[in-house]
Amino acid sequence: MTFYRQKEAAIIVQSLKAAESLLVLGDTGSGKSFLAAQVQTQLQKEGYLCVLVPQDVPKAQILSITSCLGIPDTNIEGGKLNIPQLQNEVLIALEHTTAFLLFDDAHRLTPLVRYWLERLHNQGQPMALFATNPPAEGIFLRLPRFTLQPLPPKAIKQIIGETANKLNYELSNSQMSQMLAYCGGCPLLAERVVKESYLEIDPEGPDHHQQLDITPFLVALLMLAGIVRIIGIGLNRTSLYVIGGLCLVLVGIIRYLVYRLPKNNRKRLSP
Amino acid sequence: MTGITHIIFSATGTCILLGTSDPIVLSIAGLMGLVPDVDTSRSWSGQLLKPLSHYLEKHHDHRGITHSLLASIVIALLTAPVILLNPQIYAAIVLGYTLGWFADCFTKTGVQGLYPSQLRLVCPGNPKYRIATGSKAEYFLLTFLTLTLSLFIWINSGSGFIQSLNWILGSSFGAVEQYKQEGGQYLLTVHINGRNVQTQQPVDSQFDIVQDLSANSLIVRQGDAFFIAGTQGNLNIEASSMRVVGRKPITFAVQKLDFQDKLVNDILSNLPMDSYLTGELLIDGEVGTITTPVGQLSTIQAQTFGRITKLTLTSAITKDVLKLTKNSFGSGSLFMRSLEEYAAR
Repeated sequence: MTFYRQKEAAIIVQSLKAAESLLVLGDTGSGKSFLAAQVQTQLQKEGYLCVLVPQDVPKAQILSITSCLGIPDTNIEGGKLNIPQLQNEVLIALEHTTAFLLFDDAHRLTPLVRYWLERLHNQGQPMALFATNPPAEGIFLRLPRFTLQPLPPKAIKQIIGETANKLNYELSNSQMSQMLAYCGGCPLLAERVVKESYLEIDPEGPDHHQQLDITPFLVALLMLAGIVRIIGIGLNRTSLYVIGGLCLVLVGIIRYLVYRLPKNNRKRLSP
Repeated sequence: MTGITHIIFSATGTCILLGTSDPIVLSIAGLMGLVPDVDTSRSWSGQLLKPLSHYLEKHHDHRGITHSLLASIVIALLTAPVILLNPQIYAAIVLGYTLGWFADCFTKTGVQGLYPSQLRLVCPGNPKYRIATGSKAEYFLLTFLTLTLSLFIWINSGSGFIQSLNWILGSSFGAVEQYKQEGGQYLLTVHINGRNVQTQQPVDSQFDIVQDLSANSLIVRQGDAFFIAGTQGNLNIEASSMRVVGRKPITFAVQKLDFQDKLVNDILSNLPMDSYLTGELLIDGEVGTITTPVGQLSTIQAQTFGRITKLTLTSAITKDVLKLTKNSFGSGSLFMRSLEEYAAR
């Protein structure tokens, strides 16, 4: 698989090496996990200790960190440590060790982990959080953040080509450019669109966030027709006045009907 | 969207916005509506310009660069010389192209109208209510657009939207406005429904418009009978509806007449007998009696001051004035208006 976010990876690596933490924002499927894995590989290649914390229950997450840092998960008597105890151990260990922490899907972290991350951050621990729409509070508000931009059409086209190749599915340029319109620079959607086309399913509608609903602008433009009414008064031309009035009523009706249409629900998939 | 929908959408938009029904202008706008789809080799324009469509397919999204304001500006600049030949055709080219891609806002994927931004403009926001190419909704839209286009071609090829509306409403102000616009080129015939205020007789017949008096009233004539018709003011006929039903092309001539102590007949007999006179005329001596039937407008009003008679004329027919003045001397300040029908020349 080709890696398209070289620039972003370089920014994250440099900022971590300068002991600065980062919050990386991106839509679902924008390639955050892939980017996180690339950052980890790059840092490990340079000989740094770097932990990519998996998407799991808090206990498993903290255990993955302790095992990487070589912290024992039992006390002197041989009893298992609980999560707060393990978190304390990591805090103490990281005071003297240089290691980088990467959290994928950080918006799903439980408050227990998030408070602990704040303590780590206060201690000066460099970390990178990758998240989609995280709450605007705590650690997410403290970290400097940057947003992953949609991939350029060229990259999406390559992803479409690679996915089609894997499926032994031949696509014409015309089909590819049609599919591109459904992706909006999102690699996950690129793969999905190819698979849907392979299964001969008609695509429902684009799921990407690179869409601007122009309905309000259109309604505003139509309402300009109301100016005719004012011109009619100014020029003392009754027919213009009447036409302006009719236009305004028509726009009012269109506006009412358009706004009565059910809104696009981005939170839930509906048939 | 299919090619035919694009053609009809662009033609309809141009027809409404430019207020024209010229088949050449509308055809150009319709064909320009197909041009944005040159970015796919499946479209008609893509088939025609294969090398260009193959290049665009390779490097851009469908409904991408060609469906943008940027592309519209480029087209406007490239075709700028056409403005010297015919500004309306130039407007049709630019409007047709822009409406061509704008129509695709209503499709599932929308358009990259703000290219080079990857943002896609869509309407409405819920993709379920947007139109899939070749769907039943598209044919419904096509039917609606075709009806709208036919209606506006009919309106534009007649006397335009405003006058069509006035015709439907049958309003007095509509007839006055049309007279103000066209009175110089056409003799307008108006059908009036209403009643005569003085005689209380119902009125339902056609009159020729002589002149306008206010925003709501006109002087009209039927043969030698003159009336003030309208909805407000000092009226002979109170109209419940006034519709302009006929127009005959005329040549319109105006002449100002100022004279002092001359033989009135010498001056008036040089004028066309059926021309209208408006103004004041002072006659030495008395004039014959003026009789106007009840319920009509007297276009000549006479007042006697000792040996002098003052005639106030409001679109009075020259022939009638001549009958009164006979061989008297007089002074006057008049405007003569003559409407000569093309057929009569």
